[in-house]
Amino acid sequence: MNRKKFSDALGNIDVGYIDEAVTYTAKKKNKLWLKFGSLAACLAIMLTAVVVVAPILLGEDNPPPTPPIDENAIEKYYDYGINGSTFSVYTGGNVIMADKIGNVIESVTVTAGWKNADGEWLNTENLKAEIYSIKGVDSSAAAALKFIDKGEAVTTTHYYVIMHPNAEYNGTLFPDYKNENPVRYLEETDMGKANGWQDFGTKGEIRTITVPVGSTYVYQMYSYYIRNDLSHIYAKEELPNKLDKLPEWLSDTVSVGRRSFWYSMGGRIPKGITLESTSIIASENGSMQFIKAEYKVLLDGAFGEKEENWVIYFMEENGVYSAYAVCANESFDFVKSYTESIVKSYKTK
Amino acid sequence: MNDERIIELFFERSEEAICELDKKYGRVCHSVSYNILNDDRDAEECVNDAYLGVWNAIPPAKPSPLSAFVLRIVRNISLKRYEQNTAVKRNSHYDASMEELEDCLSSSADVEEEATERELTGIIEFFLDSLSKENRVIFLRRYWFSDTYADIARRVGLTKKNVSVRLTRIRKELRKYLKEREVLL
Repeated sequence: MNRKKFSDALGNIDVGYIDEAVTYTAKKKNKLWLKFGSLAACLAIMLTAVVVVAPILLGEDNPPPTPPIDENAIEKYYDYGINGSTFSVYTGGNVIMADKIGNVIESVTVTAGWKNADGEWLNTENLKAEIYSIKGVDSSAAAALKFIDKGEAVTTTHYYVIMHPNAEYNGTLFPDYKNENPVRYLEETDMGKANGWQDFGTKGEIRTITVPVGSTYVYQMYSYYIRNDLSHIYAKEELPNKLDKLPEWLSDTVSVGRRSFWYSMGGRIPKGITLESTSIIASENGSMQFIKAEYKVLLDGAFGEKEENWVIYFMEENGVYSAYAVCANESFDFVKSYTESIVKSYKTK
Repeated sequence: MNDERIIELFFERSEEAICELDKKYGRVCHSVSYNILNDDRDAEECVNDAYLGVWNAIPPAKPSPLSAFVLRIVRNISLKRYEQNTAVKRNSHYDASMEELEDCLSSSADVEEEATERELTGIIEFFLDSLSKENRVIFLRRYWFSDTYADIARRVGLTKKNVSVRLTRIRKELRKYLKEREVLL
């Protein structure tokens, strides 16, 4: 029996056990804890001041405070390296979709295992793996690694992008996947459509992000969200019968249920949503018309009110509404023009 | 706000339902997800996705207790994400806790017929029933919630060392229990 099976079985135990573990409170207070509790609280406040307030004072908008990592997490970490191959120097990690995988280049062995905080191996296992080409990518720049042996891993089904650390990552080395329409979902799961999309990182490297429902932060600088089939979010609501009514419909903060769209993107329900402007833009091939809507969104956060700029592109295909939304923390104009170039390159697969 | 009222808000399709749910259970949800993923943003997204799941499930579902219902969704979504992220770098609390269980789970000989997941859940529940309430909470906080020893110690009012010793004993009992039921040979 492996740990995944045990973990899955444990996950299905009766909710009563979970509730008991949530609501349980100790009968006796630990005196030692109480004694040092106030000291710990003071330290926690000081730490919070350093971790949370300092970045704000320094003008760093985005990074959320990271909870302190305990000794179990910091002592060691899992790593791997490819042995005796031209790919030995490659580094990477992102998962890439199987349909982007080309032919097998070679079979390799991978040394994998736990390293301590200083990067020294604590234990290792040798695993068989295969290197694949990525369609349209020069393998001197990047390839894909697929494990054959499971080792400690849960699965061997994924392909991981491995990249040469010194390769020039520019448009000539990488295929222009945005022509394959990154605004569309790549697969469907039991969580619904919109399971991910393909995009380029800051250096033009390939990055495929697969997440349930489809929200993710892509760069430190801004967040963008694909929402395919809005009826999935509004499973219990009636969407407007025309796409051009949608931008205003979504800015309603009074009617029930409408802010769940915003909630799904930012984890917060806006206090105020102002629709600043709408315009129509068409894809370069003329196959799709988008409604571009710009919003100012007012949020009530832990440090007072905050206003965010959002631009959302709405589209309709066979009566199904989708949205591609971007919120920038900085360089909003750059983000908008970049986003617009992606939207304009829309092309149905 | 009590759970019944929060569920009523979901039935009324009021967005306040998500606000109140987050106010009441946001922290514990985030911590369950963070313990598995060891990444703040991944955890935040998984919790958001879980809330959306709850929003779409209620109505018609009328879960009781609400906390466990939400947490189970959070855990499942986080584990799915974990499977996508894992094999690259594993150092979350979840890894640490699952690693401890390895000894209980590995078997020296091949078991002819492995228990199905459902059977195994039943066996685990019987095992949990055999524990004292305090030990049950310690066990679940470690292996369901992936809490650290320090967090568990704080919750149950014991020292970290005590928690560690208790968990070692519980794991030993679990191994014996699984062997007796021929889940392990």
